[in-house]
Amino acid sequence: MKTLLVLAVCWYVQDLVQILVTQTFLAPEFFAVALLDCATRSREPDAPYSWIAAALVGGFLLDLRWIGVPGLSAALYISALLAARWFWYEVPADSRKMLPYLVITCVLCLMTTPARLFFWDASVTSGRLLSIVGIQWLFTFFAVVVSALTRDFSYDEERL
Amino acid sequence: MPQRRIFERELIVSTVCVIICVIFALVSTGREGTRKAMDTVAAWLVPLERPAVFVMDEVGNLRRWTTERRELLLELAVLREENRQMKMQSGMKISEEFKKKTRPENRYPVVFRDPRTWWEELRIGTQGKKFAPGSAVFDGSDLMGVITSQSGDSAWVRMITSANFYVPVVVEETREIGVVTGDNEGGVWLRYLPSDGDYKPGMRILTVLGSRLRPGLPIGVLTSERRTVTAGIDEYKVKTGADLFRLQYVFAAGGEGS
Repeated sequence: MKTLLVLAVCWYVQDLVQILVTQTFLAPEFFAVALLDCATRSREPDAPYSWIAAALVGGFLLDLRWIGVPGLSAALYISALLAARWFWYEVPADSRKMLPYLVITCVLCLMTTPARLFFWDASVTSGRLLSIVGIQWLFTFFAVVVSALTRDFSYDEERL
Repeated sequence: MPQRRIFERELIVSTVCVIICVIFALVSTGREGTRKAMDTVAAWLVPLERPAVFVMDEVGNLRRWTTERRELLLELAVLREENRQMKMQSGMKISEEFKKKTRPENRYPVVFRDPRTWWEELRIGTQGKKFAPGSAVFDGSDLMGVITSQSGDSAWVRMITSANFYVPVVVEETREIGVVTGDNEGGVWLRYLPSDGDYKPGMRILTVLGSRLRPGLPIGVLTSERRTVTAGIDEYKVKTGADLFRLQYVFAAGGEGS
């Protein structure tokens, strides 16, 4: 329940940020970061269905609110979720620290950006593509770092 | 359940979901139903998105305000410059007018200048003309003093270098009002100007309403020399247009008689 609330809040924050930067920049992938974070928190692989459902609902809502291609973000989030869990649980349990999490989450979040830009009007992105992508990646990276730090902190608490 | 088994199932479920999503995206994009669904989602989110919309509105208002302000300031600067040019033109017109008035028949000789009161007063021969006290006296087209009294064919002129000479004036370009007075030592000072004014050497000083002299008479220009007499009030030295060292003839306005 708590996890779902976190996902809902992150989706909402992403939606608000997208309103603030509408037609200028892409909002950072707060929802994707939270989803990948939550889905790879448990020490052993848990049942993925609730995460798939969350990715499906969040992605569909995002598509219906912003892009108008219902299913695109949902497909991207589910693919990212699958890949994240796959790579994360391939890492030996003792090595599941901050670095592999940062690498996996950053790469997957960054890969979702270009797909979302396909549906922007060419006149909006012309000459600014690099800044749009760069700023979105930068803020997404910050979000990933914050989530990595909270994970690290919670691991420490668990050990205590 | 073994880990590999979980991943196999997860892979199958995820792949099926992705395929369904992609097919759904291909089929539903641009359809009327999708548009309705989008409208519905947007309508649900309206109350939740109000804070962001409010911020956007305020940012838009602030942007409009700053743009308008910038335009207004630019326009104001242009108007100020135009105003300054017009004032300069009007000042030059007055100067030209006085140059025309200083005709040879209004030219009077300096007949006496006492070394003890060299910078205070002098006497001119009026050649039978009568002048009212307060009449302006010029060197060329610039004010050099006023007539204080007349007896017979001569009149006493109080010079602008006299400490008893007080004439209200205006700095033509800034329109600041002050008073011009002398120091009995050949200097002329513009007094009672605020220290924070944007005064520059070369700004013209003209008379204004407030004395018997008509407004617009040129006196001289500001110099860079200034002194502070009290906090917040400065005095600026004025370079007179009249050459007060070599006065042989002067022009006087307003004479009557032969």
